[in-house]
Amino acid sequence: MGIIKKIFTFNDNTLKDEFILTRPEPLAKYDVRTESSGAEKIYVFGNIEENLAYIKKRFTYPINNDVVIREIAMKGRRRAFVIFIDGMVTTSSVNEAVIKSMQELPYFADDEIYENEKEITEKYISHSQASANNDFDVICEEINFGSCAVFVDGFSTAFILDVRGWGTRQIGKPENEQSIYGPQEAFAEMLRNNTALIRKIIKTEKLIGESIKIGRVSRTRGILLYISDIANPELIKDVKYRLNSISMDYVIAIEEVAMMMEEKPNMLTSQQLLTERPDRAARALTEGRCVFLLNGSPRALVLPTNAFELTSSASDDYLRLPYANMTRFVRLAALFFSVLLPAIYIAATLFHQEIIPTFLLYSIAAARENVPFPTIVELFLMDISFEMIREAGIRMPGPIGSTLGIVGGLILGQAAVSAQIVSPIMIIVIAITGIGSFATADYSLSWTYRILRIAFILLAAFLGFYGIAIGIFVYSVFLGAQRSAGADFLSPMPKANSRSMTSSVFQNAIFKREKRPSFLKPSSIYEEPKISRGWKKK
Amino acid sequence: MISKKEFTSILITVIVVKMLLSYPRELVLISGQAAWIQIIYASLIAAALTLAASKVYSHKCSVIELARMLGGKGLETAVGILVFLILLANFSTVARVFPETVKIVLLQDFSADVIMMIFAVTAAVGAYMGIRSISKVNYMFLPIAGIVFTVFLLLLIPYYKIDNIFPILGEGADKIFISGFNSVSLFSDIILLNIFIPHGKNLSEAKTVGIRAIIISAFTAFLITAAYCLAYVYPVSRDYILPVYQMSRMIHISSFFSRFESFFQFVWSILIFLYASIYIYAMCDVLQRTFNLKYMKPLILPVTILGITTAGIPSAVTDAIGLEKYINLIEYPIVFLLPIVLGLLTRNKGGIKNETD
Amino acid sequence: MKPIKAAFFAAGLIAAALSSGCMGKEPNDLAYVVALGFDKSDKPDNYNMTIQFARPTNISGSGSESGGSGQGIVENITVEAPNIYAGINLADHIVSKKLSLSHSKLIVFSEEVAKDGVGGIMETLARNEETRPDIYLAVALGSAQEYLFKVKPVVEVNPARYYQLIYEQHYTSGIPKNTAGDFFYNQKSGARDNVLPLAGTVELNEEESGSNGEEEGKESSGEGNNPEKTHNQLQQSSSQNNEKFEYRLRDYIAGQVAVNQNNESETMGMAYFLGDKEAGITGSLETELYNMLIGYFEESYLTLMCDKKDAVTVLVLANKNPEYDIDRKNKRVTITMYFESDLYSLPTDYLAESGIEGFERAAREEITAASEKFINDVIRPSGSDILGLRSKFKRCFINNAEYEKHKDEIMRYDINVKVKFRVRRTGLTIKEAGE
Repeated sequence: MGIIKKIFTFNDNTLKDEFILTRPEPLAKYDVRTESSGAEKIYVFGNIEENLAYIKKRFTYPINNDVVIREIAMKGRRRAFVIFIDGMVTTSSVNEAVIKSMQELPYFADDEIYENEKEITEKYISHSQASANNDFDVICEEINFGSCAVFVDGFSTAFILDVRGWGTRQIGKPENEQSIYGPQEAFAEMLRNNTALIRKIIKTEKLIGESIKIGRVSRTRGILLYISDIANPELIKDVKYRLNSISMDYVIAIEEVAMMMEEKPNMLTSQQLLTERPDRAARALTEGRCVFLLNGSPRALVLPTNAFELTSSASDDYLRLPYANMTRFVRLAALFFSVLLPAIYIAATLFHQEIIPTFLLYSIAAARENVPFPTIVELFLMDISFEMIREAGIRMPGPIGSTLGIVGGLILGQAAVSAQIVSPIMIIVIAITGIGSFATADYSLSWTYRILRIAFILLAAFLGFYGIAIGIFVYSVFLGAQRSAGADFLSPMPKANSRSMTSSVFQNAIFKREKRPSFLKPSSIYEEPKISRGWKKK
Repeated sequence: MISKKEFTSILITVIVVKMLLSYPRELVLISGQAAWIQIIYASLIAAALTLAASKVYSHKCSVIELARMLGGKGLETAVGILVFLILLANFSTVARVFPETVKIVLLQDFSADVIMMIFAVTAAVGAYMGIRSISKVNYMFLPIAGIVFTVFLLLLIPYYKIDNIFPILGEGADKIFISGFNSVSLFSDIILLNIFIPHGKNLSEAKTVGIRAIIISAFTAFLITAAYCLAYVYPVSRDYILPVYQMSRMIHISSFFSRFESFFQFVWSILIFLYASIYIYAMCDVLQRTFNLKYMKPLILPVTILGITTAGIPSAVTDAIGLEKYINLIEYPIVFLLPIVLGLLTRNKGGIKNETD
Repeated sequence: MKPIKAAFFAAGLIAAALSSGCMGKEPNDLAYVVALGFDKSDKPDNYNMTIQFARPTNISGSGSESGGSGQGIVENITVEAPNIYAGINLADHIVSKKLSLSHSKLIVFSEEVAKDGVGGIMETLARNEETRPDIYLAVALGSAQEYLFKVKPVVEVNPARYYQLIYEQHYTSGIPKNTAGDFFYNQKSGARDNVLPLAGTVELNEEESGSNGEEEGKESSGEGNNPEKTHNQLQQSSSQNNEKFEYRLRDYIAGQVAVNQNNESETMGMAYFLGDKEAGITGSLETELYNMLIGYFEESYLTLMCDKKDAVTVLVLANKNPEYDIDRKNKRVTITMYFESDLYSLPTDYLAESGIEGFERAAREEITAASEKFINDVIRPSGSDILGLRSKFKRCFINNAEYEKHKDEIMRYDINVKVKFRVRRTGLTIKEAGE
């Protein structure tokens, strides 16, 4: 009966339970951004009660469950408290180095504190990374980043001790920039570990790491690395200016920083290089570039870069000359096939049948006889299916993902041919195109190729080879107008005496790479003498 | 700023493009199978004139600025408009003939007007990106075009017959050396050197650029002409509107690889897009300098429309090719003599000297 | 503002793309012409044009279970029209797909059409971009239509490939090479007069299958309108072939070669032209001599005399192009040909190694005599400059005006032929004297 009643009557009261999002009341009085914007700075009070009250209010204690405030009774009944965020600190350090030490410290009279505050802190704080600060903004920032802050009654400064110890990923192998030869380390999320990885390769005091914090609220730490006697000072100045002028509340990953720094975010080609290999970042530094690392991101941002560098991979530097050039040639072919093969197929079959060998043309014509769709529709159908399979393969965990790719590709393709929805040659074209896009060194570049491919297909479908020529020309001039941190994007980057373009595309012998890339305008041009192999001298 | 090599490659592109269209036929119409001698002769004259111009030029500025130095605003405007008309004429002939080529070779079922319109839009986009971008792309692409061209000439080797260049003097020495003097007009695009000097690093570099460009493009023109004379016997070689395309149709490697002309045409299309972009940019640059305009980019669209409209004046391709001949005859004296005359007259005047930028 | 700008731009692009009017033609919307045949029509200035186009589904086998078996791989249609494109236009009304000439391989003229002149058709081929300059040309003995109808390739599935293989052979010399580009080029420039291969058809003759058809050859070979006189002359001369050139080999023309075969079409011999009109036909041996003299001879098996008793077959290679030495003063042209050979087929008792020099001398004399006979019997009477003498004469002049004044005098010069013939190898065996 109740059910029938529910079906046939309309009960307005149910609306009360429905949640609809509306704009809230004007912002609460206490706004961290207003507090930290520097409009009104709050400094450490001399009185511990006031400090405690302020800190509790600021961290919304005890509602904010992660925050731990531990009050300590020092000798002579002087009160102190330590505040930290649970899960971000090494508890043993807090217990031993902070709480225990505090409890065993001698008693200081008030006048001793006022006269010798600095001396007392220098003598008695037995922690390697400790600083004193009286600015609540700075103190809170450090607490948020895993330090602990110690407030002592009578002291008008607080002590910030670096006791960070959260769970992180270990340094492992590069996942997306694999190489048979060369180092097998990759960046992880910890900033200090990442800078250490680079520093142990470039062991020079001229390697400068400037600290830059990005994000008005998150204050995410970053380090800008450069070698001071190689990098162009104007380049460093420009990069620092860009980084410091990024204004957003929260910065989560370095990719966001990269997008904020790009000059033309709508361009298909990325104007920066993101690498997960410390050796690649180190090599970039030795050429005169700068590298930016952000805490929490396992990639380094390398500036500036150019179009040729995006197509080369880190492993090219560790292969012998013939192998490296062969790999580059294969990658060039992959670039050509992934971008242009479908377009050339469309252009040749729709407009320029004379270019196709006669027997192949008969095969294509016969194969297409029972296919109901035009060639362009066939191509898009299979291309989109392939892209969906690829995306699904990324989303699916582990073994299912790879199996899905194989099963989806094979069975879908085979079924489509058997059902005469597509012609067999289309499957081959799509397969080679897909494989070509996987063979690119840079992940962002593979996306560039995918988008370019669609543009070229449309051009070829309407205008044949003329359309492809137009596409190549227009894209090239757009690339030519692009810049990456002040350097021309289409600059050649030869590392030899000649400035030829072939040195950009193909590798030179390692003993011939005498000059640094000229487009970087480095302070120091030569990195090798004329004869770099001393054993060759007679 | 355009580097020396980029500048040289720009000039090579604009000069060589003429040879990819109907110019070899023009040479053959004059001297018959001795066209290859005629081109050597014309190249020497062009090189000598360019050398003379480079000796007398002493200011790092274009002919328009030289005119202003010499005769004030009035002369500057007159020279500017004259240079603009020369550039417009060159651009219009290519803008007329090239889309017709595309229609014949690549897109037989299309209307030539649509092809011309798309050509204009593409060239305008290129010009909009600026001379630095065009010069970089040109510098990158020219070696590729050179390799394709070399392969093309090598693939034609089985079709060369040495008998085809006999009798050696063709239509006669008078035709080669007297009537053939006009074939110096092949190099009339060298006017761009005088227009783009302010974009270069310094004057001495620009002088080297001019001579190098003449030598390299002369060599290329010689190769094309010699190949055409060797591949086709004389009376037949008068008939083909597009000699280089016609030669590309001959290539037959095996039953599998033949009919490569669509592929070659695709490579040449890019070269001609570069030519058109350079020309549109140059025309806008000339107008900006002549009338002291602040911005150049707003001129691109109207100049492109003007160029295409002018290109549409001849009603048939044959008229366009005939008109091109007369345009060449009129413009080459101006192109070569103007910088020499203005250079001589402004030699001792003040202004921007050989400055390193 | 930006979204509106982007919308306008996109609309403009789409409008431009759609206004282009055409998105090309699918490959299966076209019918690909493989060969064209021209016969004389009843109406003056018209031809009966036979259009042979491919059936891709049968060729590639996707249309039938049995695969491409050579059956039904082409379709033929004959229309009456004054030139190629008028005929294509007419045929487009009948054939459901648009006919495309971009992959055509062969154009065949009947002898009547060839004698009337083929310049008009060549002009069409030169002007349009669809047809390739490397289309092969041939003259059919009889009707071009019949030749095309009877082409039934046995060892290929692709008819285009059949034509390519037959007309592009470089390992035989009984078929002259000529393509449409060369024909137009030579005819327009006067560089030399053209030759075209002869194409003919045979009738299956069951009575003679298995018999030695060497002396009698074929009965009616479906040669239709060919003048009996020409063929009887050839038949007579072939029985005296040892005076001409190769020993014990008949001077075949197309349609006479094979005794029994499934493919009733053949190609052998040549038709030579004066300008754009046919001036006569010759057999395979003369064609071979022509190829040697002009420099198109690459390699072939020649059967030469061996003490006038037994046949010796050698693989002859031309190791250099023939040299033409023109002596204006003495009004003489000397043609020097260079050959090298491998001994391939010898009689068992023939000790070639001991008499190689004698054999070489005999071979030189034989080829020289045959070449001079060919020049005197074929080139002189017709006045056809198939050797390109006028073209070679150009080297003697300084400019075109002078050349034009004197270019015909070379046709009256004496022509001497010299042959350099060496036996380089004896195959895998070598016999010593006394074995």
